[in-house]
Amino acid sequence: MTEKIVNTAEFERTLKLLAALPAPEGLAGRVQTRLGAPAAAPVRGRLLPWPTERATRTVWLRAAIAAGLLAAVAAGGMTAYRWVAPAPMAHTVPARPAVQQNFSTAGAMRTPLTLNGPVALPAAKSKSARIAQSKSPEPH
Amino acid sequence: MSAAQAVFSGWMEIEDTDEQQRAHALDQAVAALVEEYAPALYRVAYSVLRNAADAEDAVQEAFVRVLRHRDQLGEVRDHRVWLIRIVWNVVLDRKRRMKTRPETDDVTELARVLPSGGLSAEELAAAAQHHARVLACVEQLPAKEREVLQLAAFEELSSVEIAAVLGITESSVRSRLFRARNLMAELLDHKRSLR
Repeated sequence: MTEKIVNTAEFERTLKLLAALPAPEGLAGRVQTRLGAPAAAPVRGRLLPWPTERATRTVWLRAAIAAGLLAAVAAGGMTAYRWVAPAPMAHTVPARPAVQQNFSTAGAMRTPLTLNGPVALPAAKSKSARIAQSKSPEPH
Repeated sequence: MSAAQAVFSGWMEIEDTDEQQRAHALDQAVAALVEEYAPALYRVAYSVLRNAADAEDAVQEAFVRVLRHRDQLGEVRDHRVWLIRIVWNVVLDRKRRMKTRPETDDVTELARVLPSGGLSAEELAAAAQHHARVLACVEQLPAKEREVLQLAAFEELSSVEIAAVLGITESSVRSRLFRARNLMAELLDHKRSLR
């Protein structure tokens, strides 16, 4: 029981020590600053002066400068376009792969179909000869 | 009457002034709160986070929240407890986000921040080691008991105020504190028997 009381006092001393640590110097000031120092000097919003009068007076000058810049950019673009030669038109045929996908011929040679040679027909007989032949008796 | 309360009583009297004056008075009230309670809030934050920079950031965040809800300042009865409750929530949020243990093992940091009190360097190192061991035991407590124990270490907080900060009843504070003390004694005994 005595041990328990000693322990209790021991750890409570540590916690109280930690709880009683002083805050760092200037803490409130830093917090105030980061909050935007509302109480010190309220910052009022202010509009930036816009040079409207001068803008209307020099509008033609600004337009001329803008046009000049535009022309310079366009001329530069054209020059660059002319410098770059167009690529020649070329039709390329895709190379076929030299891979044989069928069965091999096993060395067999293709032979064309044999054509019949020229047939010598007997000369055509005249009409009188044909009649004479028909009239002659047939041999038995 | 504290400075903040004086400012608030002045602010409450503003009736016929315009919105800008009212906002300015509120800003002044927040500034008075910072001036009066920033050190106390820092100590509360440090007791949990155990890191000076994190504690200062937590105080800053708490006052940013105050500034955001400054229109409700007039309805607050006890500004001190209200502010401690805000910073307590900020600190718990941060601790949850960090997902890391506080620097309980950082003996060097403890030796740096703890008052030397005429101790030699060796004695200070030994005391820091002892405090680090105790704080490691505190970290092993269940969250409910640990929170009550940490807040009870602040002598300026009564059990009623601790109950207000944690949003529980005073009897719950007492029972949790009782359990926390017993658990701490057991943990320290256990550590001592292991040595």
